[in-house]
Amino acid sequence: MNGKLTLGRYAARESPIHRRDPRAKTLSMFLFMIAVFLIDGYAEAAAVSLFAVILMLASRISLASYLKAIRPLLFLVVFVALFQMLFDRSGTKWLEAGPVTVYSGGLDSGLISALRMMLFISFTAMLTFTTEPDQLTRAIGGLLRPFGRAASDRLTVMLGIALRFIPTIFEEGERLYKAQVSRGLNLQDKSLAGKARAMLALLAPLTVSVFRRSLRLAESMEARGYRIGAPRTRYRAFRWQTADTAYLILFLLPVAFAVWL
Amino acid sequence: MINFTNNDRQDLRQYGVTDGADVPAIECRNVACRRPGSTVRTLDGLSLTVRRGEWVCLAGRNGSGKSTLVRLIAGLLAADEGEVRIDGERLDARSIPRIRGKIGMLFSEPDDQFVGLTVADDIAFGLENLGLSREEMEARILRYAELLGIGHLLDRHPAAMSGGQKQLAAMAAVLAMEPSILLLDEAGSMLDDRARSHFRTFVNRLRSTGRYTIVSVTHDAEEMMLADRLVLVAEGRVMAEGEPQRLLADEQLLADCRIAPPFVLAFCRELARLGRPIGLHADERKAVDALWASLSNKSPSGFGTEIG
Amino acid sequence: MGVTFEQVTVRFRDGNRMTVALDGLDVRFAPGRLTVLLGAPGSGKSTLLQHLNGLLSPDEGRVRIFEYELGPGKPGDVPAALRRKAGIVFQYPEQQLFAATVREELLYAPLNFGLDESGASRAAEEAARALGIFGLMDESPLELSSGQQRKVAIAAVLSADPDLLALDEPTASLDPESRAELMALLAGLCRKRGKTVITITHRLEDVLGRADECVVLSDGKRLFQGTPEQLIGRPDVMEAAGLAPPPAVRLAAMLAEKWDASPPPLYRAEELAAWAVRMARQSGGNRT
Repeated sequence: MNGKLTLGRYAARESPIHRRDPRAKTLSMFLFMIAVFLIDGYAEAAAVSLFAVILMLASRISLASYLKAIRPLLFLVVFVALFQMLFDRSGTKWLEAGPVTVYSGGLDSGLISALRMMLFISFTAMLTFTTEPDQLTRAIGGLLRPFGRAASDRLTVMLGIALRFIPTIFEEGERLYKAQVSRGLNLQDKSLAGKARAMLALLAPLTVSVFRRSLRLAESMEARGYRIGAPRTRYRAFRWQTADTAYLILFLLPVAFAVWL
Repeated sequence: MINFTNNDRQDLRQYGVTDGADVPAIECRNVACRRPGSTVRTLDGLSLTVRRGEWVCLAGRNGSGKSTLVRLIAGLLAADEGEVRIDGERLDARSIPRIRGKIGMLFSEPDDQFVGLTVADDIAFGLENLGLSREEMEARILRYAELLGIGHLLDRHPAAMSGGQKQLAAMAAVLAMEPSILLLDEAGSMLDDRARSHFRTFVNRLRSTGRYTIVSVTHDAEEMMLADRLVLVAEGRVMAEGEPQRLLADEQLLADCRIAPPFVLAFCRELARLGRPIGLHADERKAVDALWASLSNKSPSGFGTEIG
Repeated sequence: MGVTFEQVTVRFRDGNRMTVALDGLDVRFAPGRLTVLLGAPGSGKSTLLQHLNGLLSPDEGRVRIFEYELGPGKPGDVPAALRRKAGIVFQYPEQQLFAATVREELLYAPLNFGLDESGASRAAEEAARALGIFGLMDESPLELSSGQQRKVAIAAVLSADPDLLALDEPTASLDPESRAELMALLAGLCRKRGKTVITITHRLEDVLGRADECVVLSDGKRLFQGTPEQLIGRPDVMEAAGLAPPPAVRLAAMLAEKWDASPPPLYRAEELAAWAVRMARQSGGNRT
């Protein structure tokens, strides 16, 4: 069919980041999040930001793309910053405008909070920019293995099936929409009753269809020997390389910066 | 009711006389199945034997029990009464996980059998369940994809494949598990004519290797003609079984089982009406040859109405 | 009047590529007739169909449906009247059912299109009668057999009383008896109610003896337009349309081969048998 839905934000490139084991990338994200959490000064923020920018450049994806990732959550950034600026009364008076007073301490903490949030959002985008959705789900499964092979296997299979079916169900939804439009469905209908009828005509059949599919799929999986909890091998696996260990260790840097600067 | 079932071997087995060489691949003895929570019996004392290497077609109207039967054989359902034996071994909750490896099943809906994100992943799914090593998986994936002619589709996502291609991929995934028994539940019904014809030809090829026992549920008269034996199911029992050509020439039987008589049959009847009887044939080639033979004979009374 | 496509070109973006679905298509569908639209997958049939009620509009050229006209650059709003006058039934239409009863399902379209309660009721009942499902009005659609569901879904589009009914493979997955029944119903809509019916199918059995006309698309263009009999006489067109010859045609070819004659475009058993008898008499025992 036409108009393929591209899942996630993966952008294929030849870069050292792209080549890294997705498990390393996921774990390093956690380390980075810890680092960001520990930032409470301008020097620390600057150092960690520099670290982030260098890696973003290494990923061969434009910095503009990373900044654009912030846009949907910009309101949150502004909110957090304003909150700090208005309610943190430490330091000296910096600005007085009518009923509103901003202190220097508040200004600092507001700016740093904003910076932390932006760092967090833009850098974690790297995970989805440089890793295919399928690899991510398998990485999560792989990381959870030590906690229980059966549970992690089940999760991996589930996530994989979800990924596999999203485009299919999306297409079915499109076809369904066209079919209902041909019966007079009008999403522009302003009335509440109209909107409710519209939603029902789309969601009800789609839900029924998804349930039917899952029953048939379950039969097929069972017929192919799938048993929940039974041991199974893996066709696709990641191969952890020294570079991945190095990559992970690299992320101790921002944590160190955040703690010691 | 025409019943060509040969019960002799079954009777002998009841007395414990078995011959390892001809243990049937599939044996259903008096199976009964009830729909959960109701007294409606989808299968009502059905007995069926399928020899190793045989291709049996199950036909009958919707609700006759054929889909239930095939699921029973696959171990997806349990019989309320009677038993199912695969290669002589009884199918029950304990033995199913082990015996399942011998059985491969294909369903009618191409999309809802496709688990993996790509064809390769999907074929690998069953192999992962079997616990094969990565090298063995890789080898089988390539081998069976080539066999089905879909080697070039290994990295394709199902949303970018046609129904026919998906069904071939499903077949590759099932064959890669190297079963000895293939169960097809109207596997061609959702395909267009071309794809269905291609699929049918492939199943025929499989049968001729002698390595597979095949049971297929179908409405497709052309598929029935290719099979070794046709079994007509009605009201949860076997109504008739025998050579497809023979059964398909019986109009009453076809009407009872809601199967469209092949065109060639109507043709034979018309010829008889016009004074040129050639017998009743369900096979086109046979009909043409019979017509040709009747011409060389020159005497129209040479044959009469024979079924064959 | 009818339906006319004039030099219609439609392009789609598919990932990074542009595919041409319809390529300067010129075709006219006669009103009040049953026309079958055939072609290999990807030939543009579905795209053509979606123009009939304005779901799609052409990138180039014009589409005329009765008194309405679709063209490039025209604003996106298609008059609701066109949606009502031209109904489309998509593949596996039973997937779109959602109401508690068949009656509610059939009332959905006419109510959406602005008919009042009594008008909608009348239209729903007429559609139910046309499809032979009047007795199921108070049943839940989800508990019907798939064949009955199919009829309900078709009636659900018919209940808006469109002048044009377009269907995408309405007989897909049905057993042979149900297929014949459905095609007869569609033919009846033309002859008895004067509707224009355009249906996509790829089973020649559905076409023979039913359709007034066949239009074959190939690569977004019209490859052939004619009667079913004329189509059978064109094996090259059938091949391009991805059609497998039905048993009647195969048998005719086998017989013709024996007499070294060209296969007759006959598909009825009586006619083919009569032809065979004639050939036998003519050749009087002379055969290759």
